Amino acid sequence: MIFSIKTKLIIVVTALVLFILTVTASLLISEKKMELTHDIFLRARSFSELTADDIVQEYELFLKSGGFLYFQSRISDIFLKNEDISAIMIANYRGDLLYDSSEDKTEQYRGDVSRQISDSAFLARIQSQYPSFSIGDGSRVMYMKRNLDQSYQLVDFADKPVVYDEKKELVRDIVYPVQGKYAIRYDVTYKNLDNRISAMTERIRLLMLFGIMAGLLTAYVFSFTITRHLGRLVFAAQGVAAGDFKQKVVVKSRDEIGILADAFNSMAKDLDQSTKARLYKARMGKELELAAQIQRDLLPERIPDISGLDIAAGLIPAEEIGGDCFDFIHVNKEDTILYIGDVTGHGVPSGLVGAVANAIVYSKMGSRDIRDLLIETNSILKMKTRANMFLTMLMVNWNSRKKALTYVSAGHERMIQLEKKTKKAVMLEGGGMALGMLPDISKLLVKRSVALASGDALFLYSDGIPDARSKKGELYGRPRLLRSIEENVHLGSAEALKNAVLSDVKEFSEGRKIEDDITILVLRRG
Amino acid sequence: MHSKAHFFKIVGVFLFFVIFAILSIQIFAPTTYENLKNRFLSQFQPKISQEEELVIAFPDVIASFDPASYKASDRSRLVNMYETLVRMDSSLTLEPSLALSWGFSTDTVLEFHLRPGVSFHDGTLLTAEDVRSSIEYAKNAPNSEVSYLVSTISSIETPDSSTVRIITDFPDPLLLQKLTAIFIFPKKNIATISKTPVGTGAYIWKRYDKEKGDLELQRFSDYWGSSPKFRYVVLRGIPDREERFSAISTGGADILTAVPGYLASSLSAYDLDLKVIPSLEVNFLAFSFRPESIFSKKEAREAVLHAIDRTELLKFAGDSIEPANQFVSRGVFGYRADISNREYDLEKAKTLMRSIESFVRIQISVDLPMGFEALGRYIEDQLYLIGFDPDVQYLSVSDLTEKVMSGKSDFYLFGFRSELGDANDFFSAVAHSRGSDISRFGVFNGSFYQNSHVDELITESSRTLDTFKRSEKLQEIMKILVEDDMLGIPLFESKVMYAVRRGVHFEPRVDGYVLARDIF
Repeated sequence: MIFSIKTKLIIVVTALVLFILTVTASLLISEKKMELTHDIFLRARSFSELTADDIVQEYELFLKSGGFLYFQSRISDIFLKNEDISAIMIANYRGDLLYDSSEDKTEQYRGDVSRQISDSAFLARIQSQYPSFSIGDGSRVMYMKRNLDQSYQLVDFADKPVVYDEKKELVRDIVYPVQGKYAIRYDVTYKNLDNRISAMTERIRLLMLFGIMAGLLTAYVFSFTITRHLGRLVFAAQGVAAGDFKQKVVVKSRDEIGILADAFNSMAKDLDQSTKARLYKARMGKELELAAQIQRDLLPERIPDISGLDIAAGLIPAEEIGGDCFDFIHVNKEDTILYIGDVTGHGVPSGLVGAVANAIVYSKMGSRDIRDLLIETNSILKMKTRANMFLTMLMVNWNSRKKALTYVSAGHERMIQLEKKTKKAVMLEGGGMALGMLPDISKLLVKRSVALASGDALFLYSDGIPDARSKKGELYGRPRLLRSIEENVHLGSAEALKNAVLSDVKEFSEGRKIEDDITILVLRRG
Repeated sequence: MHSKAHFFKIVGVFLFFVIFAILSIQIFAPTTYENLKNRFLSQFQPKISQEEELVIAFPDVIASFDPASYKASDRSRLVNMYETLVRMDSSLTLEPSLALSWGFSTDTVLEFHLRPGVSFHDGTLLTAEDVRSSIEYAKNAPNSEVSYLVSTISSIETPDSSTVRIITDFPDPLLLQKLTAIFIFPKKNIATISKTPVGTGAYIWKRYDKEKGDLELQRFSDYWGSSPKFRYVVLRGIPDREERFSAISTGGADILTAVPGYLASSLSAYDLDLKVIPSLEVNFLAFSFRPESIFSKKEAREAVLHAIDRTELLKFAGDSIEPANQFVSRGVFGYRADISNREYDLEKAKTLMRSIESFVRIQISVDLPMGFEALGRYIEDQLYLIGFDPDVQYLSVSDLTEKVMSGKSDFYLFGFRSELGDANDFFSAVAHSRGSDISRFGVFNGSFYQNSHVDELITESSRTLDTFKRSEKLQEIMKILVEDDMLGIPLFESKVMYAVRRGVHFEPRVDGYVLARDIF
């Protein structure tokens, strides 16, 4: 079961208000009761001091001679002056009860035998010199001995000081001896105290109810100001969870809720953007994949059968789209052009340039001269590509009838010839100029021939091989390449040679991510 | 469902705020809250039924509507229609009535300030002139029985319409108490007031059915005090006590005054409550002191005193009476505790009578009120035993009063209620010689008793402000009347017993008045 913040706040505030009010009320009532009780005693004591003589006088004037009505009228007046006195009794020194307001209501006592006070303790109080009061059930009596400074000292019957804790025991009555002949007993009632406490309790109950309701209202209003904003946040968060990143929460409060709302809005915006970016990336990924597929399609599907040559080729792009390319083009029945190219960088831009170069070479392959082909290709590339995009290329022409191989290097890595006879790998002349850099590179390109004996192999490669690095950052380098080729001179096929070199590079890299495309063509004269 | 929940939510919120508002007002503006609450609740108070009626049964019928009548039977009715300047509460303590405040400017000048906006039953407003006129009527009207109460007043001034200044010849310690017996009525009605009561009381005279003895009253809508509960009040006079009891036991009355003693224990069977209160009335047998009456001789009076056994009297009224040994009841100021009475001694009585007349029975007229037949028979027997030939008559109160005051009765039963709580009342009315100016003293002196020393003492006690001295004088008078001159034979002081129908709230008053306005 879910309890909203509002409910929790209301419950907590209400419980707190109730607790505080209850404790406060209890303390207040208790203190007030003690205070009122003390006041009642003081008033009763003062009242007895002030009226005892008057009562005796009224008794002697009226009641003693039978004037009950007048006496009763006077006593009624006296009662009106202190509502905490419930009854008055008059006794004489002998212990005769002369008047009892609780009994003698409409007429004077008419018995043949006078009423006698049988309680010895009461009689002692009547015959005492000091006024006295009884407490609790009336069994405990304290006498009020007047000091010189008119204050009272409490003593017992034997004139020994006693202690009275007025908080614990209520005064029941006060006996005030008069003139050594009479004594007046004033019975104290706490009815008014009870009424006042009841009224106070009732009022406090009302206040508590008021406090609880006010607390409820305050808690509700206060929690509403919080949960209203939280509600908006919840709603917005649910919207975001459902994919609506346009959700925006407007919270003007300058507190944590406001900060949370701002953070949420910012988060939603970021989510919106990142989602868009992700989608874009995914779309881009798909397009890259498509582009890579297209690029792969541009590469020869299979190694062509070229008379007199055993060819192996491999291309490992550093990214989805590579910057290296190679191709085999049957010019005619005798001539086959093979080339390897390396566009600056890698990735899509390089791949595009590579594809463009591939298309240009194909379109211009009508010119059988590979030097002319490269010169034309260069001029077109220069016009069509960006300034910082250029392509190194090594183009080979094999005449299967003459068994002659010529090549032109346009700034590409130097071809390596593996001589079977000497078992040596030799770097052939390179040079030239990368395509796309200059409008005319005719003066820079040189066509050369290579005497390729049977069993010799030519290695065309991109700089991804010599530039490969180990985990430690060591460069593979050309010397190692030469060495690797020489070590595998015994291998009888171009494919084996290719694999051996690639394996060696891979082994050297120790799994480090290649930073540049790796392309290798192996041509072995059969 | 949703709309239902929403509806309950709105209702709940509304109720919350209503309760909250009510609480706030109750706590922070309690007076406003009480006023609003009372105003709201008053709309739901049941309206008093038009037919709601209170019937009070009395043991006698009203004899006079005169506001200056002092007979208890008359005043018991009139007190519901008339009011006085000051009145006594149930314990005889003075409280404001038509006068809001009063004070003594000097020992002989008492000034009253009238309550504003008080209307008479005829709609006229009470003024100081009405008060002056009423007091003068009480003093000077030929038939006034309260004249002696205001005899000390020498003049009345009305400096304005709401101030009355009463000047007395000498200090009168009981003036305020006496004024509680002076009813106030409109000056313009003075000619007809003895026939048609017009006062300021809570009830208006509606009509009087003489045959039934019913005085019908109606609630006064413009009464200045709190409106009484009962719209109609019937004050029914039923002298016959069996009839009286039958009336209340069958629902014909709500309150029965003067319940016969022997019926007191039967009340609960009829759903009636018994309320008992000592009365201030003493019933006594009074002798005629006229020269032609045998009782002008002291021996004859003493003989009768010895012939009446008071203890026998208790049998006639059960617990409702206490033997009386003087002319005021216990509790009245002036009561003397050490009074001694003649003991019952028939032989001595006979001896005394023989010293007067040995051979012939002496004829005397003995008059008692109706309802005292049992007592009458006892008295008759005892008088006969000692040599009298009594002619006992049972008369109505008015007839008895007339016969007594005209001096035609030798021996009569009289009752006097000291409703002022002071023996001076009795002495002034009954014991003081009638003299030439009956308006001052002796208005009920049917005995034609005269004692100049007693008169002097009465006058002195009327003027003494010293309570001790007054008490001494009053007690001296009592001793003379009881022991020396034997004015009469105090018989009993009665307790007044009321039967009250359950559901009717009535608290008896010590002065014996039944005030319908205080019954609910």
